[in-house]
Amino acid sequence: MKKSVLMSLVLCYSMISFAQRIENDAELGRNKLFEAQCWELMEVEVNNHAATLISEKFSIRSMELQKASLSDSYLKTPWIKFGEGSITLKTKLDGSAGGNRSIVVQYIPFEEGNTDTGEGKPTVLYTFDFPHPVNKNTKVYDLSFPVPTKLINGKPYKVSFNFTGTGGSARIGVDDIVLPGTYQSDPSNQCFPIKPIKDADGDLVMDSEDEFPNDQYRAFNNYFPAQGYSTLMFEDLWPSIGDYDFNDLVVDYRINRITDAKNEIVEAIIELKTRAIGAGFKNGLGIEFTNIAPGKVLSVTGTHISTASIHSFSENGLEAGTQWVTLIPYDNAFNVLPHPGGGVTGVNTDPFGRDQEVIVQTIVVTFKKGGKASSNGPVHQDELNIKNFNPFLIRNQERQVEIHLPGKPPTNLADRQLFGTIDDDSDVSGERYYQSKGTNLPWALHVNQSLPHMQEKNNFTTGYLKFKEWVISNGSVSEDWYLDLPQYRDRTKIY
Amino acid sequence: MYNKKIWASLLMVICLSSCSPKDMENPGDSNLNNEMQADPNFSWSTTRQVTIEIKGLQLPVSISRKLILSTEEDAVFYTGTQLMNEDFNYAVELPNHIRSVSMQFGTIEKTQDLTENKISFDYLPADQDIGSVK
Repeated sequence: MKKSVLMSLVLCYSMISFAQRIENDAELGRNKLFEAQCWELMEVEVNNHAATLISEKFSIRSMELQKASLSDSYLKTPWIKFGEGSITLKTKLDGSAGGNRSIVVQYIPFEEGNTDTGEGKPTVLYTFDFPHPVNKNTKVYDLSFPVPTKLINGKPYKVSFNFTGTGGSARIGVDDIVLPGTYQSDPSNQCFPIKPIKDADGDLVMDSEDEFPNDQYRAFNNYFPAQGYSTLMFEDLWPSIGDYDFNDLVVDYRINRITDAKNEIVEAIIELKTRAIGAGFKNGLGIEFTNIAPGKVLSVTGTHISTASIHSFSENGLEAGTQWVTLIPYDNAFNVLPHPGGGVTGVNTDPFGRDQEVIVQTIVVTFKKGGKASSNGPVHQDELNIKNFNPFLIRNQERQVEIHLPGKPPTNLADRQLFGTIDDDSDVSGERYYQSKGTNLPWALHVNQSLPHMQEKNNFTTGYLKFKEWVISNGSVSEDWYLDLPQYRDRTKIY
Repeated sequence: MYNKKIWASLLMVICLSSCSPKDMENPGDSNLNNEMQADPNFSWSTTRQVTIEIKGLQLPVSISRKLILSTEEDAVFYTGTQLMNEDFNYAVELPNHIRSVSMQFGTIEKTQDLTENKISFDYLPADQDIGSVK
């Protein structure tokens, strides 16, 4: 039978009740914890008051009962499906004065049309009248009454223990309540009864929550950044400092980790928009995901690699010889953002030059196929994130010259002999990378949203007016320097 | 003839200059060194690490649903299946300007402000006036 025809109604909740009975011994100690389990406590309290304590540390006690009302003070169960047996509980009075005191037990059927509470009309199941006199009565009574056969029908019910009385101030205590049956409430759905949910692809994620409802191997999208794109900006003269316009290579990116019902990554969809090349060098771009073994990747598609590339690649599409997952989106930025001509050297950095259209490059890194990961194991969603995202510029077709974000380590293919030379103050042994001597300035920036880049040869601080004070205050001031707020930018310097 | 020589020379100069790749700038073009100095430990990051905890709920059944975490800008940064009776711990980098996080689990929705880069949630119902005992 075709999947499109077969709509399997699968229970998306693991309906393993941990017992065939519902119990309340008050030992959670707080009303709120029982309410979270879908018990309803109206003018009753879980506490350790000595006068109404029946067993162990806590019992449940009513308010001071002063009128014969079934709605003033009660304890109501979650929805349950009855099983055979009896409802049992212990009860006592607190010894205070009172006219009469009773517990009236009702069952309440589920009514589909009542979208507010789901409760139908209550019916009295059992009544217990405390013997007279109520005054000074502190005896513990064991109550037991059978579940009527007509209620053992697979339908959900609530049971309400209503505390009533007139005269005096005597309270009723109850404890060790046991009902035969299975728990049927859903605390994640306003405590309505658990019900079968549509799950067309059978991955145990209900269709209404499944972002791929007809794909058993995919369930959710997980983007970083969470919305829009982030921007990477590079200077390419490392280890020398350049003009600090941070537009030698400007790339917007976002990454979608598509996960399955186990929260394992099926594929990472990397979208890149190479927006500007303020350089004459034929720079490439690399992305390492640190601490993810290359063998966990099944395939890579969507990269732009020249015919005679300086890079070598493994069978799965990753760069060969690297310690961690390393992909090369392109080995020459001009291949993805061609020069439009017109007499200027860079692309999209000179306001008098021709604009070049920016395209979206989509790279797919596959970790699972048909529900199966590589023999090296799956990658969990939290193993691939911004913390181990390590992008780098490869300078002018020199594979060993990598330019990373400040503090990010080079790949094992980088030439470490360059560290500490000219303006660079990297210290491999101290795990300090890509910051300048004396001033500690970086050669790359990573901004959490898409940021317009600088015009050619315009110093970054002349366009982003809060950037400098953010830096020299060590981040305590203007930490939102990248936002487009009044007096935050000089647009005459920005492309 | 003379013009041809001039054109040939010009052509040679153009060819020679385009044969050797060079960047559009030169080392030291920036005067930034004189203007700005960062602390050696400055992170340069426009995000910071936030830890999110959700305390699991003791339940007589096992319920697994989609958990969604988002910022005050409605930007969803986490989606995954979560068992309601298990604790959830997650470290994430959020933009510096973000001040609160929301969680959604079925019909349970809560929002908390960040306190020292940490947020704790639970599945307990919000405080209500009814139920307190007179």
